[in-house]
Amino acid sequence: MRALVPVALATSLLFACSDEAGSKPTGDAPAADADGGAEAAAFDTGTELRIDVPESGRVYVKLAPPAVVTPEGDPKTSTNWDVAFEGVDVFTNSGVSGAGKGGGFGPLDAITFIGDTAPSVPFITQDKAGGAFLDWYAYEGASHALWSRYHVHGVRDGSRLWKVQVLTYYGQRDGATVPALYKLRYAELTAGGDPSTRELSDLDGTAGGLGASASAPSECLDLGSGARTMLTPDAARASSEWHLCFRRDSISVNGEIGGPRGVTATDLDADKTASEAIDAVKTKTADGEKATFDAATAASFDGKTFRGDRVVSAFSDKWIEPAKAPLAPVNVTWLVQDAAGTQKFFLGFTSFQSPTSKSPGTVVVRIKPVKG
Amino acid sequence: MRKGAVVVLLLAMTSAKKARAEAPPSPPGDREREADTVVVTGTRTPERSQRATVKTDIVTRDEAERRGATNVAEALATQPGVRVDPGAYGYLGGVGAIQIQGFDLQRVLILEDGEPVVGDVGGAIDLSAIPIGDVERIEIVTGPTSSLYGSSAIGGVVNVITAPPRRAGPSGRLRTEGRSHRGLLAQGNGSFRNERAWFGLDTNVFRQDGIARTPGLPDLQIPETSRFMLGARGGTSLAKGVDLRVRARWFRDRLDGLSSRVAPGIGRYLVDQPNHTDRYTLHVIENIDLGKGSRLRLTMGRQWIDNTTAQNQQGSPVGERHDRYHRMQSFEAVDTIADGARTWVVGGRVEVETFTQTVTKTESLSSGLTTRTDDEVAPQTLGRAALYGQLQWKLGETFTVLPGVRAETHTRYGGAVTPRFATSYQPAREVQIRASVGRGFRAPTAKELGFVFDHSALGYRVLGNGDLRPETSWGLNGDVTWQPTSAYTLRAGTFMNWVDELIDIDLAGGAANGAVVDYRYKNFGAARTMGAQLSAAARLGDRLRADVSYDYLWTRDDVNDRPLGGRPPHTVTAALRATMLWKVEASARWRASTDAFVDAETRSPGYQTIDLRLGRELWPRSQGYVGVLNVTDVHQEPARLGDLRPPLGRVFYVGVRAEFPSEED
Repeated sequence: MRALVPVALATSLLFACSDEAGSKPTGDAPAADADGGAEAAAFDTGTELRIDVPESGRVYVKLAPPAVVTPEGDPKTSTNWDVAFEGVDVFTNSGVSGAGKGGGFGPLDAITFIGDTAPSVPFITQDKAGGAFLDWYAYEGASHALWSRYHVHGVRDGSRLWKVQVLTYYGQRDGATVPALYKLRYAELTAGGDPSTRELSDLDGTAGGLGASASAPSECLDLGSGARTMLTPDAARASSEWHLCFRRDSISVNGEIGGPRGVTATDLDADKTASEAIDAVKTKTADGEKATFDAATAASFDGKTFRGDRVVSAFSDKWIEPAKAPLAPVNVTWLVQDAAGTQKFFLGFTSFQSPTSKSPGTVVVRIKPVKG
Repeated sequence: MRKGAVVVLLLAMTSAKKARAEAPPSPPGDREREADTVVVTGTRTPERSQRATVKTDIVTRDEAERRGATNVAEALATQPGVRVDPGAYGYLGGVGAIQIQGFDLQRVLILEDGEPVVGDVGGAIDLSAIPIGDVERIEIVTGPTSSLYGSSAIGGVVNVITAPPRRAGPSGRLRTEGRSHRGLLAQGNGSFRNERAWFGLDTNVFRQDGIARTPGLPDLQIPETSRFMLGARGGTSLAKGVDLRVRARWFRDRLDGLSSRVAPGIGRYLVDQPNHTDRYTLHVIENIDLGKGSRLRLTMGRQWIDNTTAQNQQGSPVGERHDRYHRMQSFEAVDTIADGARTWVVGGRVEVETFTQTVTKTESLSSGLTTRTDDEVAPQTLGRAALYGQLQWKLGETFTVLPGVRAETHTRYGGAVTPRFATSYQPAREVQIRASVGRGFRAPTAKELGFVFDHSALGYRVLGNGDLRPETSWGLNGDVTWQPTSAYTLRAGTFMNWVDELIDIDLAGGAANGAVVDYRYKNFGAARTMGAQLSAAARLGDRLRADVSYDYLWTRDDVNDRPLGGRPPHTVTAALRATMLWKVEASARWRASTDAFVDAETRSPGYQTIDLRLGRELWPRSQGYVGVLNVTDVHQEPARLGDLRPPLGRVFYVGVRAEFPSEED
């Protein structure tokens, strides 16, 4: 089992990194078809469902039988829906999105859709809070190592703006190499003058270790004062005393569902993530990436979308072709677990009709129940 | 050591030849005995191996030593119809696990003198932890044998058999050997026997350096190994026809692995990976002669296994340790009733097994160093009782039928009934045809019933399942043997197995429990294996013996509709043994396996191994020898997943073995 998890994770990363953009006709935007007809034919089975997705407001879908539904009462406590669409996001009835036992895994190869049995996957991803730091690392399955991508992130708090670069996930304590002891460099970007770069070590995201309860505290940082505070997740969500919180492999931002302070953030290098192979990431060093950090100015963040923490699912940032206009779905298969946690489905998005920059328009999806 | 030592020993052997008058050739009786040893495993009744109702292969201690073996895993490494995969279990690199008819991982039953060996680590009994120093022979029965032995006898049974001293008065045996990788073997035995009693002490010491995985890195492919065994055996006649035997053994294995890991931004650090086992066995056996060929055998046994595996950062208390405590006590009564052409075997067995596994983690947290111990397998007490019966009925001189059945009840999963029917027919004196059909089963292990592998922080747990049922199988076996003279043997055999309710972790059926997904062991697997074996053996006088065997194996994982991983479909084994000039005995073994499916993206390459050995008598009942295993240095590639090639490359060895007193009987 322990061997399977990294292999499957590595496989999923491989899939995530190997998506290739196909040519796109205008009008309806079909799924990117890197391998021609064979891939498109993968979505010939199952039941087709068309879902009108507005730019704002959430649309709920039941997978068996496939239908758009309106949950009774509070959707957060309802198990009468399995997936939901809102703008360019897809959610599952799990984790912070709903009370169900749903979730998803992917992307899987498009050809997977032809089968009728759920493949062995290491886990079903539940919806969780996350944001600009979602892709701060690349995971190397063979060694379970988290390698910083050395992306430069912008963190905005009112009129103040910082640039932040995670240097490593590992520190040394008690004579041992310990994961979740972050080291990062950051600097405030001001209108005039050179930013003063600071480096901080041993930011403690160990959160009580692997077997600890979900309420174990971890370290949070105020970029302005440099104050470091140990907070439980609940305390952090209620506190305005921090900008970034470090908890195991997650870095949260104190804005939207992350906390009350209104902090927002962005990944300046988000466009590079999909094409960053793990071997290339491993060649980067903190010293080597200093120039990248230094080169980022306030102007570098102009036009970037800053957001606080939001809900992310297995689909987040992976189901729509990056940097494509109009929006188009990635030609892959998704494994989705229903809200009851008992039935799995393959989902394959075949096209978006009348997409806008903020909505895929009408999503055309093939849905097929699978064994396993 | 290596080549220089080999040359020195050859010179010494030549000198010995010059200094001494040429001794007479080895008595042919040894080879005859080897070719037609009495076997017991297939039917629980003594039979000549060449005419046994159920096909039983044998590896004698002499043959094991000719194969350069120091333990049972090495003795069986090139045995036709068998695969032994050392290093197939990750960082437990030394574990040598066996595969028969495509089955492994507790689907092959390992016995010591008929008693099941417990104490698997990583899901497999480690055959390399059983030294051959006190072993008389190893018997291998292929196909379902649960009708006699119960759980795990799906693919077959391996019975490691010891024996009382053959000689009256004091006697002993000594073997000492040096090997590559600073390997050192010392095996000794001292016995005394008179008309009323016998007693023997056995010891085995083996050590070997760790073998690097990748040149330039500290990681070990094979851990530094240190194995020790001390055994005491004795027997006496309590009364006329009543014999009592006692056997106690202590095994102490220390495997010390080492790996390194790279922490991004920090650099490489070292992790010690010890795998330490202490195993104690005690068996008391009483044989009562009931007259007219009938007898009653009573056996009481107890085994204690304490095993610890760990992964500890060097120079730090931070690490993770797994402690396993396994105990089994058993009582068995077997009554063999000779009734003319019919031989009845009726037996009963009761077992109680306890198993506990804990995990102790020492972590560096913000609050300081924290050590916590949790149950990884909740304490399990498993009991089972079984009754079995078998009739061996000789219908005339040429036809034997052997129906048998075993019924077993278990405290956790209820019952299992496993019948077998075997038959043997000799249409002519030189031809024997055997066939059998039987049912096998494997009981869920304590780990599968009660495992708790908690990685909630990473979003998943792996849990045991108290509702598991036994795996069950049906198997067909058949073979034809043609032995035109005692010097030539041709054999063709085939087998088919269907196994249902295979127990595995259901990765596709994880159940979400909040943010954590639980994966459980379930009975959801189904598989088939089938294959064939062609073998030939020829003995030309007393000086030359040749064996060749071809094995074909086909497997299917019926859940995923693909082959079972790690099973090469074609294997050829050839062996040649010759007594040459100056009484030098030369032996060579060649084994070739084709490439094998591992998973959808991976195949393991085909490979060949060649083993060579030269031995020469130094004085009566002694031999000096040199050899090389895996001459062509075939070995696994570092970091290649599923590589079935040997983890250990070329190994040179040189040694002396002798039996005392040195006079021939």
